[in-house]
Amino acid sequence: MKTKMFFAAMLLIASTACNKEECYECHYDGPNGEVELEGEYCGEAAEDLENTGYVMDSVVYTVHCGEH
Amino acid sequence: MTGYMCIAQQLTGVVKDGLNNESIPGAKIELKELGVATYTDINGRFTLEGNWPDEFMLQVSAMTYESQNISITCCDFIDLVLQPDPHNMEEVMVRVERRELQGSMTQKTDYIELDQLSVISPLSITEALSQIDGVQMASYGPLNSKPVIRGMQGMRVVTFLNGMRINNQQWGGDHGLGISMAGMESAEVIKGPMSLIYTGDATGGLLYLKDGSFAPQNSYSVDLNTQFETASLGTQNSVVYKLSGKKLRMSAAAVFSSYADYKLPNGGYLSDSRMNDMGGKFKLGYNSGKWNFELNYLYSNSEVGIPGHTHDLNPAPESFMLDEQDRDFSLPYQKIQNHFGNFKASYFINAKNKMEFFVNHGYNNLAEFEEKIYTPGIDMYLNSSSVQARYHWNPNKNLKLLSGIQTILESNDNGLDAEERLIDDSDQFDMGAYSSLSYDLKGLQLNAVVRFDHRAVRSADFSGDYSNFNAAIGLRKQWSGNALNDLSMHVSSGTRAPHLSELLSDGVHHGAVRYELGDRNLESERFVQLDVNYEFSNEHFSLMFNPYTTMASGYIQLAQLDSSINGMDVYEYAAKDGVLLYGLETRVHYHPHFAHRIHFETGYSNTFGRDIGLAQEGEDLYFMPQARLRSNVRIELSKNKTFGFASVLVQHNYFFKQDRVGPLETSTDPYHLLQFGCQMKWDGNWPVELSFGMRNVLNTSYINHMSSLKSLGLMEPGSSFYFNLKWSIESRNQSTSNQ
Repeated sequence: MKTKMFFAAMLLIASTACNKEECYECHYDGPNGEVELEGEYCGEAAEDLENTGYVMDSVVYTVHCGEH
Repeated sequence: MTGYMCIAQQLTGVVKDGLNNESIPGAKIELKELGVATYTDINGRFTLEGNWPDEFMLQVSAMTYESQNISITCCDFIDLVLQPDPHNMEEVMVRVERRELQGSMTQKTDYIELDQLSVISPLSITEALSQIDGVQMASYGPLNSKPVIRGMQGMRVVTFLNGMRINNQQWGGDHGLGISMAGMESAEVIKGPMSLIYTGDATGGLLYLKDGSFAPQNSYSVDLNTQFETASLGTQNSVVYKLSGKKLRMSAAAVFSSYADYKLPNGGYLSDSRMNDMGGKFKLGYNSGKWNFELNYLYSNSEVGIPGHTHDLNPAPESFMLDEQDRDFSLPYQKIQNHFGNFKASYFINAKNKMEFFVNHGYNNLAEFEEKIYTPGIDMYLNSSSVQARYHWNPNKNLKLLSGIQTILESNDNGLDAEERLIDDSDQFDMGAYSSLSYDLKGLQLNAVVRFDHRAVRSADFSGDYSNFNAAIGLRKQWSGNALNDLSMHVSSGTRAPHLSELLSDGVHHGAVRYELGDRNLESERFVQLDVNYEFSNEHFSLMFNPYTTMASGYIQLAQLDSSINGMDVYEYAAKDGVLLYGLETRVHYHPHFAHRIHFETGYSNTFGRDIGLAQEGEDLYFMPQARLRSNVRIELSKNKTFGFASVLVQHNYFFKQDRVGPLETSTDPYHLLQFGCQMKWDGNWPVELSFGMRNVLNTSYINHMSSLKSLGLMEPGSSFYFNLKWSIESRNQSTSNQ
């Protein structure tokens, strides 16, 4: 009984810390200020966007995702 | 005393009150070297079965009694007598003891029981340690902090956990201690360079943390703890499970914490002061005859917000404040992961000789995310492996000899995806050897230690070697009559080779909100400290008076320059020719005869630090803590009742103005802090402790001088209610005796 209680407590604590794929709003710093990108970007899509940047008129702008 | 080795021995005894000769039930009997414990039964008797060495140390302790450490020979019946200690307070009181931490009975250490502090419910180990005179918190918000001992912090304060040296990027101004209190039993603090049998470079002091002992023999326990406080809507939750047989023992713990941005006295919330943390511990012990083994493992994973992050040269404090409280993920933040494992083997050769072996490994990953979620600004990996051997020789009861060797290999690497590198990839190798002698000459106790260390630092374009010799000598005399007097004096040296960060830094450290520059020409800094301690105590009154002074040459200071890079203030590591540190710690405890349940305690501590070199003579040092006056009034209630209020505590802290600051450093105004706490207990089959109280009762707006946010004018938390619930689902079994 005591073993079951212990593992139940461990499972409860562990489950509250599970990682889930997060989605974020992103923007880039354009020539006239901050420009929000439409929709949300999740997981690998958000990571790729951060790494490659956003291309506008042949200019690559650094993208920032998530709340700052 | 014979030299034979027993098999399946039974260790039995009784514990009695020294005044009235009555038996003491519930006293704890602990064989600390073997990790075995039990409790006395209703008749004050105990029994431990096992395969014991010929001679070992036994500690007996009980509430309101003075603890005893004695050397016993297996397996005669043991008669133990404890004397009442009128000053014993269950919590908060910091005990000044002469512990065996240094292998010396002359050295004073400050000992605090972490698992007994629920009436004040500290948020972190550092906050708990700040109850000790001379110890304060260097913080980046209350959840990201590390200890400051007599004005020294960072790499000058070395932390040991269960005998393993913890290396987790302590050089960083924004890098906290990173260790949870869950399952932890005690902390001992040595102030100044007086810990040469552990390390030669703890020039500021040493912090020795110890996890809780195993469950008593042939028993188990489950302890649940939950804590909540209102300023950050924060919660800490832990579960500790212990199971002990006759020879094999295990302990496992899990912890989870979550804190939102904390509430300021003005009603706003400090942006990015949030934190989430989870972790676990596992401990295994086994003893058989002359061998005792212990295995420890700790895992922690934290996401800590970085408040005060900006690239503006003169930001307003309001730009860091929010109208609504939030705990969701947000940039910028630190992600910190730790794995610490250590293995200890003890071999009791015979009654006078013992050997110990330690093998340790630590892994630390610290990444700071400033502008991007998936690409860290800095990403550092620190691997640290160490091996140590120690030999104890006690030829007679007056003489003790301890010698040892240590090696540590550290590897610091940068992640490939990081945008910047603050410190180059580098390796560091340390080797040390020491020997300590303790002798009791007819009541005058002497301790002398010598130590040699060598450090080698290597990176792609840097190579440095540092050799150092240190020594310490201490004397202690006790005399008693109507009162107990205790006088001790120590002269000790410590030498700290420059750290990688001090040598090789050249970049923006976003977490600390500054640009940091190292100096490859730095040499070892050397400290020599004189520490004098006097203690007086009788039945109702005790006094501790502890002045000290330290001379340091080659003192490495991180000082602000009058320039900025990329919008960040520039700080540079530079050596000073000569530095003088001096101060005083004193504490008074009064326990009225007419009101036995009331305790009054006041402690004062202060440290001065000045440059006495030719170049900047008279300059004050950076980051010297404010002087502090701390007062406690504690009332013990319903001491012998099964259910009810156990104690009430009111604590007042006064922090003096700090205007002895370095050039370009901001000074700090004085302030009062008031805290109230109350504890209730239910001593049923499943004991419950409920504590509740309030921090910063007066909602004082104050800046901690040791806060990295002080230059931004950012306040510490306002008033905060808290409660702490501890529930032992299975109580510890008491031993039974055949006699």
